[in-house]
Amino acid sequence: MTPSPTSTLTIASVDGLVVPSVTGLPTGAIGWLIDRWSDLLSAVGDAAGIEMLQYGFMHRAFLVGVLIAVMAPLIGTFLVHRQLALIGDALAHTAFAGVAVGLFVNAVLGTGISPYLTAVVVAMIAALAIELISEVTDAYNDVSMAIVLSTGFALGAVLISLNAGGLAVGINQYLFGNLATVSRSNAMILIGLFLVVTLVVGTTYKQLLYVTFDETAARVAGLNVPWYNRIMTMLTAMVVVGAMQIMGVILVAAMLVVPVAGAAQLARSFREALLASIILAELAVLVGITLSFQYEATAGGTIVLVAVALYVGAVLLGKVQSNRKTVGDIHATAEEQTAD
Amino acid sequence: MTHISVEDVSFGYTASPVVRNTSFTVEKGEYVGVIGPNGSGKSTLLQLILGLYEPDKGTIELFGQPSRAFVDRERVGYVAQDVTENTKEMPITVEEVVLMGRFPHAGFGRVGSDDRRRTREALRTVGIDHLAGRKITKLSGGQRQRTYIARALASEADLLVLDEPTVGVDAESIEDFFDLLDRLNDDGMTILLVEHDIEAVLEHTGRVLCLNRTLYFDGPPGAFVDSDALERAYGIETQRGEVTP
Repeated sequence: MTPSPTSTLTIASVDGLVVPSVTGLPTGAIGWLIDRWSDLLSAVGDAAGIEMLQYGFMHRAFLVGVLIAVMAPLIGTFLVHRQLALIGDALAHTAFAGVAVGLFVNAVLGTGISPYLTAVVVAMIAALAIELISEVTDAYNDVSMAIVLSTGFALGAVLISLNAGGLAVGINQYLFGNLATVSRSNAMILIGLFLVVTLVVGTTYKQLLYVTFDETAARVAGLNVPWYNRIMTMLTAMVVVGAMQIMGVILVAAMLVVPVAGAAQLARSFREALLASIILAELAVLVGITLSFQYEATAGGTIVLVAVALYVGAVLLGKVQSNRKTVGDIHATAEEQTAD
Repeated sequence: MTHISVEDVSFGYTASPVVRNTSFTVEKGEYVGVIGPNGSGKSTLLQLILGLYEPDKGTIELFGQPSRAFVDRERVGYVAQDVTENTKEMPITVEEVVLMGRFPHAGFGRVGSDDRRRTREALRTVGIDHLAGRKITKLSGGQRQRTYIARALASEADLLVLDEPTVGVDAESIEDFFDLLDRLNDDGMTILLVEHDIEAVLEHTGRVLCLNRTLYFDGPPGAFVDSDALERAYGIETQRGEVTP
């Protein structure tokens, strides 16, 4: 399924009316961006003699990886500090059901819908369901989360086995992710998700921070907390599906959690924490993809192992830092007292 | 001007009410202390006033508007019960927390230099401007409490609602803290304070509400001492100061 590389403004006829296709222009622009990115990496590859940058699929893998490493910790920082890290895992497993739905529909109806699109839809529905359950029961509890998680995965497994005549073949790429299968259209889907996620977080950063830090005070300050919670889980669903392409269902949640946990060891302010988590995630993705190419190891696993190594490094660095700071604090307090 | 109006309010999480037939008003510039034994519905009453719950019976108004539909949210500063013992290891600085007080003003826009200036001012007023860049989890209970007061000041609140703000704060800091509240009240801030330390309430506030599900006393501290409201509300024979709620 490869869309025309230069899909400009197309004209579609709907109910006798001639209207410009809504998707024509944006996909054209995104396609152009992907091409320029490819040119850039080719040039870098030629100049520096890096073999892996000769391949188009590696260009797309790096593009997708770089974007994931921004949006996963961006959302993850809010989730982790609300002790909601499990939501990512639950949504990833329901997204798997979405993939299965897409493959199933394609097999039955002979359509060519990207399974990632059906995964986005199903994961968003699951996100809403989780929110509604938590609003009714007045708490996010791990039991309901575990139920959503297993239901999603079970549904996916059943749908796939029902249609086993060839479906099960490609399923590993969704479970564990695959660098080589990041197609142009899937890269476009990811860029779309990336734009939505960063735009929404950019606009509602203050509100999300307030709700994350102190939900009661946020309610007193007049914020519609349930609404922001819904936004948060919906964005999580988008990130999870986006990151699934190279991380796989099983490991995708790690990108939401591990870089954030590392950053929390080093950062003082919330902004620092966001920035540090993105830097750690970028390092993990770039190093992980490179190693995965060199040693022909699975990308998702390699990235997570690098991320965990960075986390351990951050913990050690944090310990050294806080020891030094405690000494500094004692000096500062002494100065304050003499100043008084 | 009436800042808080509670009229014949009853409320319960389950069938048995936690707050029963309670009525009182708080006028602009008043300093009101709410005391009562554990589980007497003090915190619930505050949350009702703040519009976090709908009363089963009666009406509550903030600045003349129904508290559930109250829109001028920046006028109310709330310091919650557990702020001094917040154990959440979230990386966030004192300044970032106080800046949240400006969020209702900024809406979906960016916080500007005016917001940062007011944040700085609020930090100075409560005397912790030197801690602006410090991580909130590294503060003492007393310093943390001041951070939340500063957030209310940054929000330009004219009503301060505090729920047991001295829990987990050392004695010396508590004294400084009550001095700070006195100063804020002198500058015109209306204060509603739920506090277990009866001595402190009698010493600092201008009016005492003694609550145990329903109102046992509403009046000046002097009259409260002379009354038997404390014994009746706490349901024990006791002398003032010996109550361990």
